[in-house]
Amino acid sequence: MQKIATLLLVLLVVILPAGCGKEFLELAPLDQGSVNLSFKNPEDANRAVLGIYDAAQQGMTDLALLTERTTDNATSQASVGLNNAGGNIRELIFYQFTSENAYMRNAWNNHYAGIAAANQVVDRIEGISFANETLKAQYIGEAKFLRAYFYFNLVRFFGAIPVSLAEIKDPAQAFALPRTPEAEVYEVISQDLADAITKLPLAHNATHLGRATQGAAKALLAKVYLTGKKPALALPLLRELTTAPYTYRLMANYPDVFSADNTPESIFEIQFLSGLTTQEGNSLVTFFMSNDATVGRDIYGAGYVGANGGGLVVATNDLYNNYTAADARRSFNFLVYRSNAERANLNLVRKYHRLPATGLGGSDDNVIILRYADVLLMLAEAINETNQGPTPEAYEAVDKVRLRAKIPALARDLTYESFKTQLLEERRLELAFEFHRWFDLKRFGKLVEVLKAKGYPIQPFHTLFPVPRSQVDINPANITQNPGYN
Amino acid sequence: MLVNATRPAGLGQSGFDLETKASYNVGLDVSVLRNRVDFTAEYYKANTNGLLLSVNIPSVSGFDTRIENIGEVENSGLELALSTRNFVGNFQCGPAMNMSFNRNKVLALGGSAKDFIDGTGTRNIVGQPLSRFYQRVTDGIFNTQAEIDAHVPQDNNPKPGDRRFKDVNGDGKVDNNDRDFVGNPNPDFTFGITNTFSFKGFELNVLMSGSYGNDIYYNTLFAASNLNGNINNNGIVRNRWRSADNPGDGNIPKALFGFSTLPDVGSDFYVFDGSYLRVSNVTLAYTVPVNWISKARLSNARLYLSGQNLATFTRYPGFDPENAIGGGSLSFGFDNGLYPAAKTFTLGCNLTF
Repeated sequence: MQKIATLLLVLLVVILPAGCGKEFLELAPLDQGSVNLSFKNPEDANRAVLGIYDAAQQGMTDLALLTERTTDNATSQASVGLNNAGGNIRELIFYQFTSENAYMRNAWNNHYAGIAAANQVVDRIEGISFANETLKAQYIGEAKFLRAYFYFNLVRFFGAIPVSLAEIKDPAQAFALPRTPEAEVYEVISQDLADAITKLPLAHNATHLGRATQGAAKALLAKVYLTGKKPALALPLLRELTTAPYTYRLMANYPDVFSADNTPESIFEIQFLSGLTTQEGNSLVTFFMSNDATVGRDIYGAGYVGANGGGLVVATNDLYNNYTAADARRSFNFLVYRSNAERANLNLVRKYHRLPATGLGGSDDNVIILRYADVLLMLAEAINETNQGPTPEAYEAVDKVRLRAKIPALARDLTYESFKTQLLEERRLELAFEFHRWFDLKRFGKLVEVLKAKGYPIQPFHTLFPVPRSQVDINPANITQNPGYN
Repeated sequence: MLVNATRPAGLGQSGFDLETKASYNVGLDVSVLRNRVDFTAEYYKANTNGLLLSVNIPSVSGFDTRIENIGEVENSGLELALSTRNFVGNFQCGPAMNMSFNRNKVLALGGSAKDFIDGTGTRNIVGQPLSRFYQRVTDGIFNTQAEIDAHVPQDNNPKPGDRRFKDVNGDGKVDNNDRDFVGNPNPDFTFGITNTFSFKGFELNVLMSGSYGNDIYYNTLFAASNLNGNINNNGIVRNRWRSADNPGDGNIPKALFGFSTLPDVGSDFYVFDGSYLRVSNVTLAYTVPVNWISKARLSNARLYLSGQNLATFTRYPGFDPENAIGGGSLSFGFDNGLYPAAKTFTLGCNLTF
């Protein structure tokens, strides 16, 4: 009896598992949604679109380093050289970019992560049925707008880049992507924005303030056309933005642009919200701060316990001195230390300043990507380029920006070249530290010329950043390095 | 206003499978001298198939890596164990020893890949052992500009006092393609030795363990001898190059002030022999005779003093050759400065009521 019982038990133990099959062992994780399950209804689509905005929030300090620190707008505090600041900032300081640079690698990765999110939305939203077709179109428009924004930054930084307009589901698809030539990338971007223009609303209500609008798509497309040397195509878009139905206007005072979110001057901002628990605060304020612990307390009071910047990005004297004393922007944009013993001759960027008194949790400041002053200056630029010289309309556009800054209007005696130089300077002063300088210098064709004259060891190949080495190593068949780098 | 959003967290997975391991063992157990000597020898061969590894993918996909069942690895080896018991009157001792010889080999890397270079500095080739270090090869220090000019162009813009690297592939320049296999983190063998002595109520246990033949990449030294700032540097920098007349020991490059050169890169300079012998545990215990404690209603009382990590014999200059080695399944053997194991002493007693 015992023997039979034992035998049965043994058989049971042996047979049972064999009968279970592998399905028994296939379990789904409980804490992550599967993408196949999560594009079912309009709410899912909305959340996915918002996810693309989240991707756009990443890497602000990298952008600051790549668009400002690489130019005559910014320098680093002297002590950065002595501390173990690391090769990355050293590469920017000495204009010796290598393909291992972390800021460039982060920019590449963050932008492609955003593109992946946008591609997923554009592909999968088709399968969702919406009661409100306009809303569906809006979501597609938002995804395309953001996708264009990401590709625009990438092509300006790196030149020919891999392009995918479909969700990548298998690594083999990623491996197969070659570097698409710049002209084609600009085509792709323009098409995305043109489509977004037809799909995005003029404005959003208070709950959805901050989402992309038709005006944002037009402004970005105008900038894309200007960068792609098609000013004639940019001109009508820019003119449309200055008149009904668009209600953009310059704020009466320069500080008003930055002291609130989504002002009437703002066309597109990347949204941030301060506060410890949300972790949605903007880190630029502390990033632009000196690496001296007491500066935070100087500015925000004794209760400040937040981080200090590394001192990696502070404004140059060159930039500061280019503002006249009467310029309202100078006192607003910078906090200067002149005769303080520890911080002699320091110009801290204070454009973003809405940090809580403790300094914790990031600031409320949104990062302004497009605003009306930019549109006015672009209008002047488009006119100058199409007309090969300024017209009264162009002068008036620039004057609006100048008068708001409390400086006098321009004398009407400029040629095409001198107006172009003037515009570059206007953009520098008006849009300082809003991630424009490197792009502007490059678009105006003066990156190497201007920086070389100011003593930077810049070479012609520095108009493109190196492709991250890891990407070249992973896929050498398709991803070649930019000239001058290895 | 705060809203909820979703974002893709990774590239989609399908066809994920279990790792499977097939192994066979052949062993021999021998006991002689009336069970006073036990000897075990075991030969094993284990194939792990469908290794779940993180594979680098182009970040144009939105992600850097994806976990895939890509690998097949073979581990084979021999395990030997010997234990003895000896009695001489009231004195017993039982030395025992085990040794393990393991050899691993990459059998497949997934798809048609034959070769996988990891960013941390290892390279896996089908048919070769796992995770061999793949780094640049140093060749002393440039003493003068003439030496720099005589050498092939080197990609890190060297000046007198900087490291010279070999042009491994012979292509007339030194760059990231001039790397070679400079070390193997897999040990020739690992071993343990224990001995237990007992006499009357006293018992002494000694446990030693060790590893022989493995290399360690001393990453912490790489970080702390870069001479490019005012951080604390490892003492070896006292022997750095100062000038052509004062070249130090000829192996350490010059200090950098400001940012005259790009900093040092990974190389075979940081590969060291990680063999060690460690006295892992020594415990001296005394079991109190029963008739002493029965009055206190105790049925058992044992006092002990034990020490952990009492001594380590090694030529490795880092903190700890045993505990400080991090890494993943295809890339291991890196000392990233994990806190070393502490020497601890414990005094205790076990009482049974």
